[in-house]
Amino acid sequence: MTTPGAASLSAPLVGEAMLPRPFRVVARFEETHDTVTLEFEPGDGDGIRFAPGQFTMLYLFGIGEVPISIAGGDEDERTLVHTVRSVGAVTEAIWSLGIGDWVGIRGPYGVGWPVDEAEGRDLIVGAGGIGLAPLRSVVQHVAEHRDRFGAVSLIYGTRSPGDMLYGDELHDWRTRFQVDVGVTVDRSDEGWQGNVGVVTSLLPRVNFDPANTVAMVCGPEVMMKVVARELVSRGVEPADVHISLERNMKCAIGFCGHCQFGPDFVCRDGPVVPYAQVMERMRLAQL
Amino acid sequence: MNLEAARASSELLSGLSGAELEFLESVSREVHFGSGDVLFEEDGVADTFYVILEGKVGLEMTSPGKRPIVIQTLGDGELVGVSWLFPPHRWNWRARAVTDTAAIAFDAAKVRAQSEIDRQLAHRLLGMVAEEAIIRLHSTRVQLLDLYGAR
Repeated sequence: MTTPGAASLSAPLVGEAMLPRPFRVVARFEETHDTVTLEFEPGDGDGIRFAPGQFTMLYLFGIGEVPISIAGGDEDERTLVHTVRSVGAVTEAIWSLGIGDWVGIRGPYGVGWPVDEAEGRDLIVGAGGIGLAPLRSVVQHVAEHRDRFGAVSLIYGTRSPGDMLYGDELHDWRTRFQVDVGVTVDRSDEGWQGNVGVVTSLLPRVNFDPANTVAMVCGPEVMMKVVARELVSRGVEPADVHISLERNMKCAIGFCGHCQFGPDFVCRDGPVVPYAQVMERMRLAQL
Repeated sequence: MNLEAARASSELLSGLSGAELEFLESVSREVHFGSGDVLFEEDGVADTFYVILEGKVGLEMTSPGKRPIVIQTLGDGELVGVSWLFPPHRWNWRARAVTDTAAIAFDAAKVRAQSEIDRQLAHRLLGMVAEEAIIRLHSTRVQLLDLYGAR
């Protein structure tokens, strides 16, 4: 992982940037019935240096390529972690990968979370569903440098208790790293003693100074809009709320235009953007 | 039980005036529930409503032969029960403590009676409950979208 910050693409040559490198699966963990966390190691040299919030393009030979947010990596930057939910042909093939299988990876791409900006301030991390994956490395970084941050809270909404990601890590962040972790589900099941309701229902219980808070929110766009609005209504500046947009990214280098969102290419100018920059656009069905 | 102290930690109670708080204090008491205890039953008479001081309460729907479905949990400072304010004054859900819970219990009949006399109090309580109901309606709509489900 590079020093966290608002990393941007350093304009590689198009040909080079479009070329996948071979990576091998070295670890596999089934998070839920449809979501898997895979650890990859490069087959041709150095690992990938990334900033939290960036993404790579994951290529399954003969099937297709998809943008996947980076969920983490090891300290020596050798391995790369992706958490992938099976929702289509390519991600279903990724789900089926086993240890030793090969994929192509290119990247990292895009603008990451402004972790430096949050130092010395309160931090709210808001995640919905698989949206916790791109935020995992943020929380890991904060946990490693806990004294640099004020009150740190993670609010996490998911569909059901069985859909929850990173159960052990949530526990660690809560108990070992003074992160106030709140989890809520849309639908409970037997034995669930936690919260039931939308993710914003956790906010009244969160300790933060709105004037000195940075928020990082990732999940379905409706969820991000609802959380961002609630944070703003509680006094957080829209410029201090950062969200991660999801669009149909193909080239990942601002070349093809598939991911255009108003004047921005999400792959190049995002995926992480300040809510203030896109709040008007997020009301437009035509985009 | 000190309602003034509870007001500091409850967004719900924060809008009440001193006089209103004084009246509500006179018709309330602090209560404690163990995990699993029922605060009120579905279709029961809505004669008491609660503001949670500390703990967690789940709103449940029950049906024969099936486990209860928890539709929402409520936490510190939140209102448990809105049907006490509207005829026929019966609960639509069962409320059950998810964890050990301390709460303020209000005598709903006395609050309704006073509201007939004190229109300002009635207006304030109606606004308070309406705001809470709107928040819950909004949350329910978002839940209905099933945002995290398969696409």
